[in-house]
Amino acid sequence: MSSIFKICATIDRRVWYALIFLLVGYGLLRPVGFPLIVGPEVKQAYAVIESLKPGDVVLINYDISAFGWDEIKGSALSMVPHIFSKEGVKVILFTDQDQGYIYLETTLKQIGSPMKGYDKFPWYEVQGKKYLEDYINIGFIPGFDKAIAALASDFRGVVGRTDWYGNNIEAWLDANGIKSASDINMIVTLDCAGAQGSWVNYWYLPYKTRIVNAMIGVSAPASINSYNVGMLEGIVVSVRGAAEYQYLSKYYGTALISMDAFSMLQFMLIIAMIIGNVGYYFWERKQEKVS
Amino acid sequence: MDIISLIITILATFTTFSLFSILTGVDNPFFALAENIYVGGAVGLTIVVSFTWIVSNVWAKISSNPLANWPLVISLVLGLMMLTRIHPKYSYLARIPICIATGVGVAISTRAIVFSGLLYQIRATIAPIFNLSDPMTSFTNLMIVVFVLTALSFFIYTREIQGPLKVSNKIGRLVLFTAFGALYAQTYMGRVGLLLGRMETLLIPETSLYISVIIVLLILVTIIVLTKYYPETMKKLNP
Repeated sequence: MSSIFKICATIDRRVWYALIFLLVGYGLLRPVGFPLIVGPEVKQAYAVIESLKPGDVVLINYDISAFGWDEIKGSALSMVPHIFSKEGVKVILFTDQDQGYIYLETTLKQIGSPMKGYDKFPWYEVQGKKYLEDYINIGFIPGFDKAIAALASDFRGVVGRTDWYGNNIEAWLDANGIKSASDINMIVTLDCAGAQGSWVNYWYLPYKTRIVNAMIGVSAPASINSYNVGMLEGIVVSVRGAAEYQYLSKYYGTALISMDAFSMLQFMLIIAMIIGNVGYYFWERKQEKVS
Repeated sequence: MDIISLIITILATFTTFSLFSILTGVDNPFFALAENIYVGGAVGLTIVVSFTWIVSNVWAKISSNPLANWPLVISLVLGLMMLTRIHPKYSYLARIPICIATGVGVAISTRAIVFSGLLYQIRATIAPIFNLSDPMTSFTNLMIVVFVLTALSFFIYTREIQGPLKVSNKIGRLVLFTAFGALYAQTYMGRVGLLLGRMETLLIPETSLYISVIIVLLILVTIIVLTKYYPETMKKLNP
């Protein structure tokens, strides 16, 4: 019996790594179809975006870098088209990360197509919305929290006269009545670096701007806290939240498929914890006492 | 899949699995190469994007009307002073913009944090605990109040912990451990989410799957051969 406990305590960690890769690979390539329950937070986030009215202006923040894109892309590829599908809603795209514009354009490329007569950015049509008619991309503004604070205090001054590509956007901003931060009706922030705190501090507190937040798992505790306190109107947490949002919005994507692999890994972790603890208590601890 | 996409997929797959190669427990040249590529690429991109932004926004405004944009001139000078850090003789000058940036950061965040980090949190804790029409919410609110008070009592250091305070202190300790467990689980979920997202890109569609399998085998075989038969070469290849 003690040899079994010894095996439990001394399993090479590389075995666990290999198991993780095998389970993820199997789960992704052969999805089983475990049931998915949509949580109240995601339902709320969906309802808030669904409540957008014609004439509303939404600012979408890409707080996304290379390290988090693969986790947040499920949310981006379902929430952004959902916002673009709302009739009469105007969209401003923005990124507080220097790598963010890459993922912003990747999203537009995946959910949209080049406008007639054009073949490159920014001239893309998404859900019937055309560039410089229904949406603009102000691109990257350095400074992270300082940039978000500066946008709140002097929106037009910080944005300037041109978009990320050098096109004049003054006429578009004037036509949509965007003079200051108070003219933005909603912020949707897709976070890898926890930008929601800055949006709450500089946009929610002074202007009561509605904020919906999708984030990677490691940023979740702070966002959940802000949501419970009522400063965020809806949250979409990690791949799990993205899968739920994809299910609700009907913009199906790979986040939904990856849920099976996700569940399998959760089971594996529980089993690994049990095996590790059994090995520790019945063999390793005894060895420590003997020595 | 066109040729450019194929090359990008191969490079991305190679870099990812090279980084994962550290999980073999062997220091290897693949990991070192990928690590340096990532750091170099990220820094390069940051420099280019930031410089482009400064030229197209800050410099454009200053050159069009320097008098009207005098605050930007000061910002630009302060920004340039940061670069003096690379010269030991003038590195002290970099302290000035760092001090200003820190001061501004603290000033703009302090007021907001009083509200978002304190007042709103307290307001959320003061929840109705007697609501007969919704007993579940009442119970949840009661738990929030009890756990906040007991967790706070854990941090009382100014008097001896005895009597009712000892009970509250013990409950507070358990509450904190539970919270740490939940945070750990959340972090684990986040890491798994990252892995899943990346693996999804590497395995779907089928072409990516084949590329991934070939690259994984190539990396593993090279590491095993180098470790077993050419340990000296392995040492030389590792920076």
